[in-house]
Amino acid sequence: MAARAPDRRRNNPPSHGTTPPVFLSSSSEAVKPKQSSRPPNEIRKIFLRTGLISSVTGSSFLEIAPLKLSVSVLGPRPLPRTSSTPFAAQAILTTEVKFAPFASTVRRGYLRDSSERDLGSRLYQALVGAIRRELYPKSRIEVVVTILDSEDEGDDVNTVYIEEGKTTVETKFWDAGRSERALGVVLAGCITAASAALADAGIEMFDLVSGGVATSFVDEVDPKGKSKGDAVGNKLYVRDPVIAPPEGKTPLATCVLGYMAARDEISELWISGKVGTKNGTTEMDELVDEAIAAARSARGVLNEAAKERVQFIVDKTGAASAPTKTEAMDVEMSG
Amino acid sequence: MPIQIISPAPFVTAADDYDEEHEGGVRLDFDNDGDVLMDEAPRRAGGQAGGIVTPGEVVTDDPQWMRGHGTYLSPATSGQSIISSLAGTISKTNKLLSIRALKFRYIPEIGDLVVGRILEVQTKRWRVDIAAPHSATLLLSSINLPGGILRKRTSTDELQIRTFFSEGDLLVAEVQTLSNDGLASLHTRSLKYGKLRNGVFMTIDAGMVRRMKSHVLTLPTSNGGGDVDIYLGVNGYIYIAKHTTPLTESTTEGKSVSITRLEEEASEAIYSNVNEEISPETRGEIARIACVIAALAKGGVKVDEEMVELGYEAALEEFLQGVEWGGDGEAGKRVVAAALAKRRLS
Repeated sequence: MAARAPDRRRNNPPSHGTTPPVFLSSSSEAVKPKQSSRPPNEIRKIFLRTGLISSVTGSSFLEIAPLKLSVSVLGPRPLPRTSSTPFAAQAILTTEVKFAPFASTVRRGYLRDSSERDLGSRLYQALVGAIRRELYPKSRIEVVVTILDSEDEGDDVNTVYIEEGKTTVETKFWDAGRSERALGVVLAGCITAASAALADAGIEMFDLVSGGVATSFVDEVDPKGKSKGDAVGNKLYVRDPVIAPPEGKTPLATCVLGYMAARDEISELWISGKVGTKNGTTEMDELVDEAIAAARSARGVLNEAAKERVQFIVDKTGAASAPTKTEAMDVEMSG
Repeated sequence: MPIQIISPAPFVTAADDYDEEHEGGVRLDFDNDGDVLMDEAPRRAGGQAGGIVTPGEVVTDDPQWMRGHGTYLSPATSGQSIISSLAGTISKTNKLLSIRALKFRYIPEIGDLVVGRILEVQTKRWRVDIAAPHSATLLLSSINLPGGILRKRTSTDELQIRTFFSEGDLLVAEVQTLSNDGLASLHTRSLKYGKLRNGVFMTIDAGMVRRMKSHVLTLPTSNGGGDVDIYLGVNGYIYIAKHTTPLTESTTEGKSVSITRLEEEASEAIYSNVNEEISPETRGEIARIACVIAALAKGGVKVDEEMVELGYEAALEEFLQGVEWGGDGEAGKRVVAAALAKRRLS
């Protein structure tokens, strides 16, 4: 990133960033990249809850293993009345994604960098079609995502420590799409959590959008350039991948999408990496289908989270005032 | 290359050829009979508890229902089913289906009595916060100018606009007109409306005030508190103030003010910013009423004249005083329960 003027309004960290110290232990388990033990067609467990921030219209908190993020929805509120503000017949949606400075191993600045702006625009694309914006003229709806913790997505290099006798050899290998995998999981989480927050805010939507990620892997190619096996035949699709690739596999492509399950529509699609040229369409279709399956799994959690809070309030108020509840549920008017 | 655009197919058909085992262990709450059953007994055990739906969920595909707020119709290709666009509970009014969300904004309607706060002073008008998605406007021409309603609005008035209402002032007004995009315009052209003073301001959820004939109540209080005025704004803004004798002489004699005589009646005093002397007894009773209203709203009981009176009686019987018990806690719940019991008896 190009050098920018230092931000003088805040206490800045060292410009080169800080890295927490990593202590190598003698046991090999401690330094091995963590492998996931779940089957490739299963996504990680999701914790999603709405209405935790009382000062905003709607909010949600999401946790998927290391990823933690909170979403605030503000509005609909009137557009500022300035001469430069254009007339808006539909609500104007703004999305903002920000990593907390401590969210990854590489320290982040307080100003948004390019990857955060990129995630923000992708989140906008995923949500903008789902909101019934025509119901909120001359208004704006703001979605603010703060990522509190995420898997490291510093660079495209994986470091593996191999023990040879008494010395530890550090081997680095190029892992194309490493940052895409990490950012993809973050984006999918943002989409799911933002939908929950919008539902909590009571903003009318055509459908909830859930995010899904899938990565295709092939058998690792040895340094001489010969494939160990048939690359096409041994393709492995992993839903909701972690950073570390499965044992002996190398990643081909990653697909992230925002999916409206009740309408069977994709609102945002982001594929990076290589999808085969020979039968490219089927490979891409397979990858997208895997990502859709991941998004559908997340949708189940999303539905429950949206219902949970309504149920909580209904139970709470229903106990105090049974008469008003029945009145609210069913009204028969005469004449 | 010719491009064929396939229209989105409904989810139901997609689910048919979808293998359930691949859902990552999380059961989707969406399936072929995912609609909420309205008339028959629920087909699924423990399904749609309490009639709660989420956006995108099919509420019903029975054509006898009309769609209300919080719903939309699915595309004509897949049968006209009513789909929810909010997370909330289903409510039925005859054949009208609507979804009531947990929180919703106040939508102004013509004739609503609202309590508002001045946000901004412009050259010929004020912008007023009325808890709606958009701030309302109050034109200089739709207030009572001191010295008479029939007086022509002059440029002097425009220069003195801040002497009538300035930023942060509270007022009670009526929604006069609505523009086609839902922006409200207010008026205070009656001696019932105007600037608020001598009391406290509080907010509750917009839906918690029941629409009534009159939203200005005068409650005689005990413990030497005297009369207390309660302005129950339909927008959920509430003002509770010491009852003041009307500023005009004719109203004290029991006559209503005719429009032609207003010019003599409306004086500078209606835009005064100075509170009158309020006795500690009155302050105590105002706080008690505020607590009753907060407890009613917290307990999910709609606030109206009857409930405020019954709640106030119950609070007196409980000897509850001060401001601690209104927001939450057992005392507030007891008062609400007692008020509801009184209503059932009467």
